This record gives sequence, C-alpha cells and structure tokens, in this order.
Amino acid sequence: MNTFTLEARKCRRRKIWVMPLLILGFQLLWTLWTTGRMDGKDLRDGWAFVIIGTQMLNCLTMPVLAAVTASRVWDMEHKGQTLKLLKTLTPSSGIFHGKLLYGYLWMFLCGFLQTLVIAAAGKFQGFYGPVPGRQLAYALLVCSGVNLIIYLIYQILSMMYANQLISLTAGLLGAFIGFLSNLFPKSLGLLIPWGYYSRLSSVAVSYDLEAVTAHYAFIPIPWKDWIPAVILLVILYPAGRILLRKKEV
Amino acid sequence: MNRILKTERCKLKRSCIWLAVLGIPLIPAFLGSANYAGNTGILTNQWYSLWTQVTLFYCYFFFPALIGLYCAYLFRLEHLNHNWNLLMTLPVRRSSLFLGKWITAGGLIFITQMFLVLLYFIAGNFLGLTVPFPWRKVLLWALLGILSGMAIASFQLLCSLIFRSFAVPVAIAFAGGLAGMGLYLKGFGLLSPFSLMALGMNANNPKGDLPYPAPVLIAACLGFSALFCFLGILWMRIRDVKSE
Repeated sequence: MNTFTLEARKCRRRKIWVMPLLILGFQLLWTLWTTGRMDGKDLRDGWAFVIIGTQMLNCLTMPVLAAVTASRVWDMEHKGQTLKLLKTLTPSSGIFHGKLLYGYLWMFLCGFLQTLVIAAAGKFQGFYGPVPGRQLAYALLVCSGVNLIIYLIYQILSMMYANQLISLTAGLLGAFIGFLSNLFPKSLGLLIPWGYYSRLSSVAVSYDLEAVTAHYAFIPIPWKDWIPAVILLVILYPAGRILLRKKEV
Repeated sequence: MNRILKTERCKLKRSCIWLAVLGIPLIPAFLGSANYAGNTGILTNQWYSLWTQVTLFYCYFFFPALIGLYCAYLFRLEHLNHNWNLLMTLPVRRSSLFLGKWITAGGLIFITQMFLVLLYFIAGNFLGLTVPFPWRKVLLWALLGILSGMAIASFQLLCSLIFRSFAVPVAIAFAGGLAGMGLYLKGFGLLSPFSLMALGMNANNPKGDLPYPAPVLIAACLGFSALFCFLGILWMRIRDVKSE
C-alpha cells in the first residue's frame, strides 16, 4: 500500500486520467451513434449488440491504453535513473506491485465506467427488457481480467526497456492484432491475448449473408475459454517480478 | 538544412524505430491478405478488394499512431540528457530544426508507405490475382497517404515539442485517428489531418473515385502542414527550453 501511495504521489500531476477519459468519450459517442437508429428487432438485440460491440472496441483501445499508462508510470524511473535508488530503499516486489496496482487501477476504472456507459446507453435508447445485470457483470469481469493480462505485458516491456518506443510499438501491434483477431476462427483467436476482450464474451454473433444482417444473442458463459488467459496470467505475474528483481540498474 | 537532415539520419541509424517502420506494416498486409483469401466469395474486386482489407483499419487507427510514434521519437532524443541546451545554442535557425525533423518524419512515412505498397503487391501476386495491377491508382493513393501523413506529422511534432513524455503524443495520435474517423463518417473529413489519411488512401471505396478531387486533398494536406509547422516554429521561438 505504501508503494501504491508513493506511485500515486509521483503521478499526481501527470494527468494519466486523460487517456481513459478519451477512450470512454469515444466509446460513449460510438454507442450513441450505433444505437441511435435502432428499431424493432434491433432494439430486442440491443443489449447483446452493445456489449459485444464494446468488447470488440476494447481489443483496439485497451492495449494502447495499457501501453501508454505503463510507459508513463515507468518512463519517469528510466529518465531520472531513479530505479537504483528505489531498489535500495524498497524490495523489488514492492515496486512491481505498487506500479502494477496504480496503472491497473486506471484500466479497471475505465472498464467499470464503460459498463455504466453501456447500462445508461441501453436505458436511454430503450432496449427491450431490464438491464441484464449478470451479463454486464460478466462483461466487466472479462474487461478487468484481460486488462490485467495486457497491462502486465506492457508493464514488463516498459520496465525492461528504457526506450519506450519498444513498448509503445508493441502496444500498437497488440491493438492491431487483437482487433483483427475478431476475424479469425475461434481456436486461432484464443492464441492472441489482445483479442480475449471479445473472445471470452458471452455474446454470439451470427451473420445472415443473404439478408446482409447480423444477429446477436447471449450464450452460456464460456468458462473453458478462460484457460489460456489464466495460464498466461500465471506465467506473466511471477515472470515480471523475477525480471525486476534480476534487472541490472 | 542538408546538415540538419544528415544529423537526424545519424540519430536514427541503428535505432529501434526501424522495428516500427518495418514491423507494423507487416501486420495489415499479412492479416488483410489472410482475410481476403478467406472471403474471396464476397470480395470479388481482386486488387481493389485486397486494398480495402490491407488499408482500412490501418489508415484509420494505426498509421496515425505510427506517425505519432515517429515524431515522439524524433523529439525524445532532444528531451533527454539536457540535449535541448546543446541544440538551442547551435548556430542553426529554429525553423530549420523543426523543418529538419518534419522532413525526416516524412522520410520515415515514405518508407513505411512504400513498404506497405510493396507488401500489397507481393500479397496480391502470391494470392494469384489475375487482373493487371492498378499502378496509377495505387501510387496516387500512396502519394496522398504520404502527404496526409506529413500533415499529421506536423501536428504530432508540435505535440511532441510541447509534451516531454514519449507516450502522450502517441496517445494523442491514436485519439486523433479515432476522432478523424468520426469526422470522416460525418462528412467533415477535410477539417482534420487525421481524416485526410482515410480520404486520400481511399480505403473505403477504392473502386470509385476519390471522395474529393486530388488537388483539393493535396491543398488541405499542405495547408495543415504549413499551419502546424508555423505553430511549432513559433513555439520554439517564444518558449524557453526545459531540459531533463
């Protein structure tokens, strides 16, 4: 907790909240724009449509948010060459957890507010039925869980390389691959962590090519698909701690 | 100016920027081609359909962010190690310093764009497209993409000059790409350098004509470039440098 407070103090005037806010603003505009002209059957599928749409957008935006946030949190240590000072004062695991917690908090807040935006937009546009609380809670779980994995990837990259070009290039690559992985078959898509935002979704999309329409429906939660995500988390978390401990400063 | 460009080239030599220049275009070329190959039943316009698959998301989201990355990197070298103090005491005009970086960014954009076109050409041949390659159109779109990229670069250089953080200008470029897409869809594409990219590269409707005549698009690119270069040079003239 002490290292978390320290991070919060260091980042006090760095305006890290701007990027999550921009992403939320974009998502709100996108939701209002895509749901604004809905009627009849579209409104019946509305909740499922807006949830999967947001999850697909997350494949694009969240990796960039993670890369930018992790870079901002770690770059100050590289620039000021303060890591050697920090490592003599605090155990490496404390630094790792403090920075992880602080950066991830912004990602979590973004995901949480995003869920509220979905609920508010659905009510505002008049989607059929009550707010699907369970589905929204699961969407938040997917967003938060995958955010943790993605943030860990970029935290490790920003921590290991003083040149932040590498982590930000990886952020763009991840966003690109994640977004386009929505077009891949499911088995292949599960190999790409940046695409888990939509791969772990509880919404299924089926396309009617003749009528050029898409149908959205809730399906049972695919808990089995979480296995690669959990394996990745189990690898990345200790790997990050060990790498920081062994890092030569 | 020639010496400044030479210096900028020296700074980029053996840097990691080449990882981005050559790495990022590989993804749209490979994934776009794979998607085209999987949907040849729907995508029937051969080279034109392949162009949409390769460039659609690339020019909305990733090329602007990539340009943001180039510009942030060009200024990062000055923001570090008290380099501003050294740079500003050199007997060189500030406008030349800014324009040198802008031209260097243009060079990187040119290489990226040409590499993408080369990958597109290779992918098309690999996929066995039978109609002749539409050289003229593709080169026009590539050229307009480069010019709009240079307009974005002038804006991004200004951002990288103002914000000393490396990540902030990249985030701005990414957000600019999203906003540019919104303006493009609303029909206000000419009002933002970020939407000019999608307009110029004609990624949405490659079979049809450009949404605006090419001279209008070129004028808009040059106008934005002149405006942001002027603001950047003005900023360098009136603001004192901060070194870290």
